[in-house]
Amino acid sequence: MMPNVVHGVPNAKRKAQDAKRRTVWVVRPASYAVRQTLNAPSLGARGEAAGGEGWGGVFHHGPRATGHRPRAFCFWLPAIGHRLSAIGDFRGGIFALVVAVVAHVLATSQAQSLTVGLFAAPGYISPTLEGSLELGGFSLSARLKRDSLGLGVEDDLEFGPAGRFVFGARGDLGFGLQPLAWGAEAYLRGSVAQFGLDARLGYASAPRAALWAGERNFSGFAGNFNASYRLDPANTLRASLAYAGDVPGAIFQGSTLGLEGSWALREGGATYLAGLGFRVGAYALLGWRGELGEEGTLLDATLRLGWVNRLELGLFQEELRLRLMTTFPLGGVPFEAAASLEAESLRGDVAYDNANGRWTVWLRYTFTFD
Amino acid sequence: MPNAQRKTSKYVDGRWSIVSSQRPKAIRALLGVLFLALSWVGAQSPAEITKQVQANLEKSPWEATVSGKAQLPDGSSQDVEFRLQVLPGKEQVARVEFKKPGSLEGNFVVISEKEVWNYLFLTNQLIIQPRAKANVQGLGVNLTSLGDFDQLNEQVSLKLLGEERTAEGAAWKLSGTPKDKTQGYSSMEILVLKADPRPLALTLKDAGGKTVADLAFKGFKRVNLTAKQLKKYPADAEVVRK
Repeated sequence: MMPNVVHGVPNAKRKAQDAKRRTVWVVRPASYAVRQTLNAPSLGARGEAAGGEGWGGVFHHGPRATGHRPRAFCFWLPAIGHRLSAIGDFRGGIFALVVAVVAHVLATSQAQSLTVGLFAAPGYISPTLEGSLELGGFSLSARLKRDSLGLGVEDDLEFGPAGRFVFGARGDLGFGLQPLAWGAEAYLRGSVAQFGLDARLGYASAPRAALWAGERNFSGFAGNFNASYRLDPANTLRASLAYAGDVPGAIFQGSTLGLEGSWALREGGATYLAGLGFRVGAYALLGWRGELGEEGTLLDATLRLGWVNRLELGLFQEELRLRLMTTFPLGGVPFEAAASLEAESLRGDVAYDNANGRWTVWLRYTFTFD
Repeated sequence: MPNAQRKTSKYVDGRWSIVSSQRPKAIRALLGVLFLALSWVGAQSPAEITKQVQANLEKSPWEATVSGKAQLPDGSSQDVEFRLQVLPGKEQVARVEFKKPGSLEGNFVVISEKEVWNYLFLTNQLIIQPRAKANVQGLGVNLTSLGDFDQLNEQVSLKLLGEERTAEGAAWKLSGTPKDKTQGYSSMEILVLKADPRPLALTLKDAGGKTVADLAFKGFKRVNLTAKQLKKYPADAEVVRK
């Protein structure tokens, strides 16, 4: 169910504005945590419980062109804030209750991690809480902000040095919309020997941005299927198919479906990536990953050119991880940029969207328990 | 181990008796003394041998390449090769880097006193588990026990079969059966170099006598290793703690 008013702009007017845009690139700061690396062409996605990256995996390394600019969480704030004013106490009570439950569970179980954060955007601010723990052979996770709650369960299949598969499911409830928004998804990802797979399928009754910080705003069904095959130690092939679900007001419905294929070649300590993709139109993919002069510092760069124009850079050194992304404002495409910095347990995400004059900031700190 | 002593003695005795028939009495007496000494040295129990191996491998950091054939989880037999690096001492760390089969190239396992790290190249993930919880099965054997010969003696009922000549010199031949029947093999044979007590070859067989793994330890050398070197992993890897 889509709200009729988003950020104070009637849908009809918004659609008219959107129609003026030919193609818009979608940026989500948290997406950099799940971007693939060249040696893991399709399966670099961070665990849902760990990063709460949600559907970033749908598009990671995939083009972000849609016919309609998904709104960051902040864009839903006026609507959400208005509707929630009557249930503010209820929401605060829920948050306090969940914190108490989490504290109790942590005290009585083998906790894995607890991440506390603060998400902010124009007109909106919310604490975020993510936790995971092992219980009864399963890995349970929970994520919470002031107007939504998500619970997940995960298990894995271990093949020792040959590989590992993780499978799980999660459900989210959003209290910011009437009726209550909900979302569910199931996923399977991992590798064994030369085969890799990353698949997920989900449904959301409302834009996912209402369900978790940093999520995208499309609703309905969404899924992705990425497969990798290692031809030999030096060569890896990857193919991906992604469907983004119902993008509100989309003028390019075809843009919700994306295809991408790539080939990674490992040679002389570096990995070279080349590929082709299609979303609305065709684009080329080039990448390089390898250590820089200083031992231990690793650079991962990926460039997409064509109907998708985007540069992603990752710089990694021991406990320091910097990820940058920028689009090239060609052909009327608005400029978007994002940065993510991780230093040990601290992580900060910043994003800027020129077209909407929108920014988001998300700071997080993770406690890890042995 | 009376059985082991008898076999070892026979072997040495056989060589001596051939020589003794061509020597004068004085030399024969001298060789008799040598024989007694050799018999005493050769009369090693498996426990003593594994202790010697453990002590030798704990002297200083070392590395070796292990290669041969192994039965993979799908039942097929494939060429395997991995590099084993061991840092003994206070901060014990062992690293197993896979070279063959090609599908595992780039994967590695790091075993420390408290944790087992399992790096998977294709997903660029590092899975960290407490050592007590981890059972990193690979090549039909729990990799967490590699390089720990004291543990081997505890886990396997060993007996000394005798000695063999190898390209690197005389070697003890040990055989054993695992005390824990849930291991991926039902019998093993291991060759241990006498002059520099360390493993030279390892053969594992299943209950049907089929070879599960037939591995040779090559290129053994003492090297300078640090825990930081052995724990190195790609800086962009996703770290998963279990």
